[in-house]
Amino acid sequence: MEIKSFKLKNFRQFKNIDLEFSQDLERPFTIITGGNTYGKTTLVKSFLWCLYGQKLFDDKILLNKEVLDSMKFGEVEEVKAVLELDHNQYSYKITTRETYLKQPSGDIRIQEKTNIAVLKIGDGGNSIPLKTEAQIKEEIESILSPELSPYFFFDGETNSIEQITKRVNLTNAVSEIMGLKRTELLVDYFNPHSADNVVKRFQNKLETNDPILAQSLQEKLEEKQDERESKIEYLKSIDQTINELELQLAEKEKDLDENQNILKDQEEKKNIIDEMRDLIDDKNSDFSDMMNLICNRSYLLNNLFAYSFKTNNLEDVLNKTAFLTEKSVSHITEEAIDELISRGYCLCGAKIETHNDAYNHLIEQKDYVEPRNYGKQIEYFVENETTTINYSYNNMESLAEIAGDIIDTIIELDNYQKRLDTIIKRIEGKPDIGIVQTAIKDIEYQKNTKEGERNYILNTVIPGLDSKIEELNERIKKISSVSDKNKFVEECIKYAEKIYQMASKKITSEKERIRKDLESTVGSIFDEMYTGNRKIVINEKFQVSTTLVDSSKMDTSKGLETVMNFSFVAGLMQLIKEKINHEDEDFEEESSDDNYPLVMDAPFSNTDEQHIANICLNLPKYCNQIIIVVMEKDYNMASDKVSAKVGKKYVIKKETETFATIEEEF
Amino acid sequence: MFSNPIRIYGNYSRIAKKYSKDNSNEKQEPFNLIDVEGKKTIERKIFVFDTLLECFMTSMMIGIIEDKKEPEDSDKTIYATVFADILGKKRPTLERIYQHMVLTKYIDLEIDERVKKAFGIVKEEDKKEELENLKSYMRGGLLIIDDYFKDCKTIEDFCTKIIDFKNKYEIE
Repeated sequence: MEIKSFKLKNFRQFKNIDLEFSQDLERPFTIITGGNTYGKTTLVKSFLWCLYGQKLFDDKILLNKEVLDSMKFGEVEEVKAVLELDHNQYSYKITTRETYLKQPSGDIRIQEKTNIAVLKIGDGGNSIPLKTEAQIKEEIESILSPELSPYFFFDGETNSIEQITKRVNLTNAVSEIMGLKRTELLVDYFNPHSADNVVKRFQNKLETNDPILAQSLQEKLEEKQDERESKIEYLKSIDQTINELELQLAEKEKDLDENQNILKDQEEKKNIIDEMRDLIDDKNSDFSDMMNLICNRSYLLNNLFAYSFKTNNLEDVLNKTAFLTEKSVSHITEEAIDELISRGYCLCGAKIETHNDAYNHLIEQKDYVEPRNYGKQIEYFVENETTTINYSYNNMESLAEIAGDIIDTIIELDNYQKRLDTIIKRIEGKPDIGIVQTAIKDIEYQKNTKEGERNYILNTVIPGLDSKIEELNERIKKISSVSDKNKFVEECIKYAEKIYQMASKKITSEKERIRKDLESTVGSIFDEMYTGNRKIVINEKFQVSTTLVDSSKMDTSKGLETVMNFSFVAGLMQLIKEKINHEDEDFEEESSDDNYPLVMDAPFSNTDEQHIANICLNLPKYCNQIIIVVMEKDYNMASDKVSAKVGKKYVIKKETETFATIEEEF
Repeated sequence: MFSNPIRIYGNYSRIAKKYSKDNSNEKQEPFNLIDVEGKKTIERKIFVFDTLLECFMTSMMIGIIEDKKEPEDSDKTIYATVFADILGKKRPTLERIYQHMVLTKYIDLEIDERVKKAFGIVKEEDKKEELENLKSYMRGGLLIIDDYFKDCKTIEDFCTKIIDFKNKYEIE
């Protein structure tokens, strides 16, 4: 398939454009540049509308808004796309139309839905008529089936090059591209376990000695075969669900990949919030402790006692006072002295009279005995305040330490808040990756559940049914009469079974061969394009990944995903070319064109300059026609390397919000 | 000396109530500090003293240490009272404050006279004067406390003041 030209009339912002694409093998690139919202994605999507009638837009009215506004009531306008291409030995002109009627209410309605017409022209210029819708559909699908179109048309929005190797439906696509589809249909047709197959039809022709038993066995057999068929159908629906889930998964993972920075920011935001929550708890707990020490434990007052005692040197009172002398007598109280005075003579016999020496001496002595005993009291006071000094010092140290911790925490919280504000500002309006991650987990769970169910049916239920079907077949065979007709029918059954076995074996071996070839081809293309420390791995489902060549080395090379995807597409194209030249002695597969164009919108947006250059230099080796719609600034990054290979260059010019033109640059 | 209630008036009662937890039935100026938790600001009601008496006693000691005495406020419309039964529970601490006052402020007296005054029974005729002395220091202390904390707006300011207090009255 090679695109010659493409015309659009009244298609969204493109009122009238006429593009011719480079078919020069030396200059395979056609570059179309344009700014944001100029209509680059619309242009790529318009190819798919032209080929398949797919409207990949939210607004299903394709008619140009300016045309629509200028229409009078009752007037009809058409949207048209004309794609001219070569495929195999034929030229095609595909014309797709949709007409619109302006109603008296002013509303616009589709008068004639999308209609595709194909003109097929052979070598000698003779046209081959394609009249019915089914013929047209079949013809277009023979050029490029809609299932395969995502591998060659990348609109960058609903389908981007980054998604290509994340697709799960690769097995079917590769089978189709590599021409295995027909053999797979053959396997289905001869599969003896399916409800409607060749073997079964032969078995129905067998004559039996015991018709009643034979009928009963035949009914059981049919029942099991129907059951198997319904399980196979159910498996297909599970596969479909798994495919849809994997597409959703790929989409979400793409979101995740594209938003790694946001993810990092959101994780940091979460960590900061957690950290701040802990710090706030610490601060509140410290504050509560501090207030408890101040309020309930009299730390301030005790410290003041200690301070007063220390700074006024009250300890010295002990040395200065005369109360703390040998005059102090323990165990004698003021009451005892009063009693001696009252009885008039002392313990020693001395007479005690008012104001005599003994009397005066005893009165003076009262200051040195309990309860006055000032010496003892000052001693106790000093002892008590000295103790206060000791614990109060430690108390105030710990109080100040707690206060210091609270201040440090407040400063730390302030710093965290500033970081948080910066992050919040940075991720404002961005998608919540946490929700994406939850969605991924949810999809993975659903997928695992479906896969579990699928494996159970595939590995347990169906083998069980197969074994039952084989057993019933054997029993039917045993009661069959040995007639010439039966002998012939049995030969036919064996023949059909042999075809089934050969075709199955062929499919298995071909898929493995294609996988190996693809891995080797994609691997060498990847090696040409990629500058880092990685190699390609392709699994049995044709899914592509990379591993480190040398795990001891870091791989810091940028653009891995893009290079891997380009390598895969280029590898597929290379295998298609090789297949066309490959002849198989047992099976000759359906023929196909050996070339497909690549039509891409903004394919290099996540790639560095070195890898853009590598891709541009190597891609033409595998693809004869590369149409790239790109931002002018992105093209400028690669223009030095690509310009020598550019055959045609166009610029999209935005005249108004609803009108754009495309002009060729010479 | 502490068998009758202690009452202070006017501005001093306002200060004492502001920084103390009790007196909930009386009009009280709140001591509120702003606490910042991320983007959220919370106003916290703070009490430096668990009771009015604790505030009185601390103020007395600060007044004694800083040698700051203040006369009674003429505004008698607002007041704060600590009743005798409450004083009775803290009598040893109150006597201790009195002892500090006598030992450090009555320097005109001979050392033994000061000891006798500090640790002896206060004469009935002196009680009023001694209590008034203590209350003067208390009023002085209350003004110092208010000067200390009145500009605190946030928890951080308050913590800084606590560290300042520790440094100012540090015991080596």
